[in-house]
Amino acid sequence: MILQHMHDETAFRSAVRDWLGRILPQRPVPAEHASSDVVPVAAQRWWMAALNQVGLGTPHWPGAYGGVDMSPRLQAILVEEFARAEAPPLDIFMISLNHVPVTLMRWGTEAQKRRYLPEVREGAVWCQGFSEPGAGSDLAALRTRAVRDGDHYVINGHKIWSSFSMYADRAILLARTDPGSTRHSGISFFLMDMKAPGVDVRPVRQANGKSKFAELFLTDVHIPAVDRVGDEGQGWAVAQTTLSAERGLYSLENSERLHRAMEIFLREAVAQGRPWARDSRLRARFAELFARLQSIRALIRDLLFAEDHDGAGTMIAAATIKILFSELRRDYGAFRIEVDPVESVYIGDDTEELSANPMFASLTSFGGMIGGGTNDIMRNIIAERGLGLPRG
Amino acid sequence: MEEEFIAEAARDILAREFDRVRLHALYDGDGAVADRVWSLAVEMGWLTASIPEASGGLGLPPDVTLALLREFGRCAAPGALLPACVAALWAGRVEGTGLASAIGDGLRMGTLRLAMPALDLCSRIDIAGGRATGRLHGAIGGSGVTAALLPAWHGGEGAVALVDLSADGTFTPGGIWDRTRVIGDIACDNSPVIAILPDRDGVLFDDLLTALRLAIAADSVGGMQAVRGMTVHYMCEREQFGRAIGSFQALKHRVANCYVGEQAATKNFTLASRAFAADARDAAVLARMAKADAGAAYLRNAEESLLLHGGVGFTWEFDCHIYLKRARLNAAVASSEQENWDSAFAMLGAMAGEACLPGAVAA
Repeated sequence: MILQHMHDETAFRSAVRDWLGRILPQRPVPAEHASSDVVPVAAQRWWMAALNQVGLGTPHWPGAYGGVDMSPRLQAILVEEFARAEAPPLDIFMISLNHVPVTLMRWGTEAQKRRYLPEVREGAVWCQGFSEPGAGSDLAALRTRAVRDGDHYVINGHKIWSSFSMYADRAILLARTDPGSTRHSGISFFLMDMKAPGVDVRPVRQANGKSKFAELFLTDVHIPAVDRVGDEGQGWAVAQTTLSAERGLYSLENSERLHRAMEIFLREAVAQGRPWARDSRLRARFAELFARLQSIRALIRDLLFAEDHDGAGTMIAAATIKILFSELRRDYGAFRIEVDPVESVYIGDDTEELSANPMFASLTSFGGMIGGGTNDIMRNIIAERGLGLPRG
Repeated sequence: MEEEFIAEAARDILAREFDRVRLHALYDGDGAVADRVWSLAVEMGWLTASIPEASGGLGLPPDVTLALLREFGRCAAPGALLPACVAALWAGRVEGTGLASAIGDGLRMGTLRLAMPALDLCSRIDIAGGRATGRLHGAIGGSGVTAALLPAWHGGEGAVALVDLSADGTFTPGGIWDRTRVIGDIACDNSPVIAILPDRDGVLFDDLLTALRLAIAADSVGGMQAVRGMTVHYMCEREQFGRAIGSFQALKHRVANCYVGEQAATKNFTLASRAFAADARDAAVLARMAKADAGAAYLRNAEESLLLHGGVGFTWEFDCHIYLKRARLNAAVASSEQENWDSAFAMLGAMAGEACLPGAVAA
């Protein structure tokens, strides 16, 4: 058992590595064609189930809710090993594993926790219904309405950029309960059943060809009043908790995967004597990108292992890392296209992981600079809250 | 964290003893300022902090010297401190030798004022019969250089030597743009060798250059933080169109970009410092990456600082040009950015087969 080694980092790492060596060869082969817009999720569901079998599905959760209170250090070892072994990602579970528990543990009723947290541990997929066509960076401008009608609310509105909502069982939702309100007041926080009548999910195809997120058209959707989190009008405060969900490990996993990919790319280029590996300017460019990655990996670890998470400092560090990493992905994508301009013209006609394609990586990187708070919003946060420049 | 405690104290002392007025006096040719800062550094033990006790130093870890160098960079301290601290960092690597003791004793007493290679990293002097002959262009020194730490040929093999320039030999400063620093040409004319170490495979000299790159990275980190801080302060004070210019998004984003680049460069410097202190296998490649990254980030911050100050940023009276010129010199010392990245690539490529690149997760 892996969990019995939690007192010893070295033994823990080798137990994880052994297990990965046994389990990963059993991963299902994606059925989707590379040029299809469908994101391969079967491997993710299989991986979540496999993790649960050895107690690693929700290691970061407190013991009281079925987790094992795993230290950030051990969690970091887990993601390092997952990246090293090229385990499937857990993107579709991002909201359910992180945002839902952090919100419910702080604001949820006992009944909500008892009902939804075990479900999440079993692998339920949740999505987030926050952004709207008219409320992106300016989330407080949201207009989706929730009208109380006896023991339930009636929801009407339009949500967008909701990742993996086409696979979701439930959603966390922000809607305005006070029709006369504007901005942060009058918003409430709900838990919505995605199978409820009136929920219409329409995938949005991204620039890279994949449909990772969707629009939610909500027409007279009924949500029981017991599925409101926090008081009426308290939704903005609840959402702040949701958005504070620890993304450090997710960032760490992504940066570890990129480190792994760059290592392999370099090794192959040198071994195969690729022309770019003899071009002084491109060699220098690679080294510069590699150095940026090393600083990011170290900055993420600093954030993860910080003893006290004061609000402002954590926010500034997270914004800094977000800008650095998303721009590194953009620049590395551009670099890979530059060293192989011809191959980058083609999509590739097999079911292999499309992320290996330079143009795909480059296109996908643009999403990283927009999603999760655009990089320009991050710059505002850094300038105003970090450097103390006056608000505009 | 010991190093941060010492560095903070040094920062306060320097802010008092080497303030803006003295910085500008130095810039306008007042030689007494540089001597005063040198004496202060000797008195405070800053130069010998990380030299082993056996060699006459304080025996603190290299991180202390590197943190001090960062503070020297923050206030654009006069040139002599940098080569002294590089020699101190390097002395730890040749502990127990006469050369280490000569450096330790000389720096402790303040009598050893060093020059060492900075722009020309290829030339070597010739040593025979305890005397050195040869020339080296573009060495970094300070005021009143008394000796030089140089790569040499000795009996057909590589060596590193400390050469006395006080009588038979010269260090001739050139007129350079960065007036906080001294760059000059060394001429050894049968100059006496104070101490020499064989360096057949060039490892010792490479180590010296690694220390120099780290020192420049440290200086750059301090400098980039200083100019950014100065710029933020100015942007909060300066008003145009009825409001502080720091409230304009187009301008605040530029400072935010400076801050972000600074965080990455500072972290790479920390990673390289740690590797150097641990004498790790990847210390040399990390020092090259840290130097290249910090050099570029310093330059960007200095340029942005000058521009964001508007008209006054372009004046001699403000500090912006002082840091910009220092950043330019930092970029040129110990190989250009491009050369350092390219060499780093070669070193990474050589390590790649071992599946143990710098920063790779524990094997």
